[in-house]
Amino acid sequence: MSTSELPGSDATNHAASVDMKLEVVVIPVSDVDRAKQFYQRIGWRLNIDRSAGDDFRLVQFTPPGSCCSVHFGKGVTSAAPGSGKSFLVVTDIVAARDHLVAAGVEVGDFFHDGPEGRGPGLHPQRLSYRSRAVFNDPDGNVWHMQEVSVRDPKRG
Amino acid sequence: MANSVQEIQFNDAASAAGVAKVDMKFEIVVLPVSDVDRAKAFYASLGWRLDADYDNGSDYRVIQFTPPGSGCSVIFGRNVTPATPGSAQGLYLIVSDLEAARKHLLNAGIQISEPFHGGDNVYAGPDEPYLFGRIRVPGPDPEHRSYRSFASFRDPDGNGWLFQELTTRLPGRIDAAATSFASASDLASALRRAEAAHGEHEKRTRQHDANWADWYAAYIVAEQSGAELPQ
Repeated sequence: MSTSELPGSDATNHAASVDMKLEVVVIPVSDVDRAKQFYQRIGWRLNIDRSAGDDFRLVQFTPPGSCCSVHFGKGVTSAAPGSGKSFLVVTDIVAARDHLVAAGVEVGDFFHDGPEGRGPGLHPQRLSYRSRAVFNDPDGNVWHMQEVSVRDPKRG
Repeated sequence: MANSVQEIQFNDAASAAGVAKVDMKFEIVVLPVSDVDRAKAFYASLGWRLDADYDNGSDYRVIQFTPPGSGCSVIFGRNVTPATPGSAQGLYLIVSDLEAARKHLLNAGIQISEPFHGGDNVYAGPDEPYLFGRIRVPGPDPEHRSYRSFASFRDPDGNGWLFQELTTRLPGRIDAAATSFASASDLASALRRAEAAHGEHEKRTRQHDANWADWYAAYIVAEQSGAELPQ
């Protein structure tokens, strides 16, 4: 019904009419309690910790300010522990890195993407989208922090 | 019985005690794919917004798509992840109307499972893991409860996506009490649900309620904050 009301007949137009919000990503971990401690330590919000029997446990965390959450647990994914890779957008990567270091997390050095490719340190002009730092959870799931101060309008 | 599967709630103070808050918005998930152009055609056919297609001309290419209404995007490409193509599983797309979302995919020529829901209080089983366990019972949740109905599909590499139907949010799942909509269609579907509930309200009270606007507004705000819905 809502699709047929749209003007235009091209597939993309029709297609764009149904919202589908990417709100949960399952990350594979081997030790649920260790992972739970880690994500609590870095200040993420614990939404759910529920288990049923010995074979099912579901933990959900949401990073501060984020509309997408992570799940991990027991019986929630068949992927190999540590195979997740995702990006966290921060407005001040120095503050974010300090925050993690203060929580006892090992964070890699800053690096940036410039005209000559990847280089060490923050982007010299702190251009939006260019400065990065990486940390891992205890299983090796990779989190890339990326500094976005000014949004590219094309990316929404 | 239903209560035993109720969510455990946590407040911010309890979970983040003593930890200064630095916003870290989870905005990108990396999908491992083997054929970049094929994946690009697939996600375009879903109606997702193409944000970027960057190619350095040799060994690196990255493509970014964002689902409609979503604050989180996906990227894939050449040399963007060492993970095995198709190994991303458990990617949840929240939709407000599961049937409409399924039809939309079917119209685009994409295979999607029939709707399913979880087995009552049974979480371990032979099916693929998903949010509410490993027993997939055919059909949507009989009572159409929020969070309970699903359907699944895969991209050409086998990366696994799930639709989950959410109409009312549980308290504690959103940061603030702000009521917001990512798009016009999102707002329109909230209005339709409020309209239907208001119709029931008028039936119950056996009178016409001229002040529907306040009633709709209260209903929509309660849906998003997880407060008790007006009757």
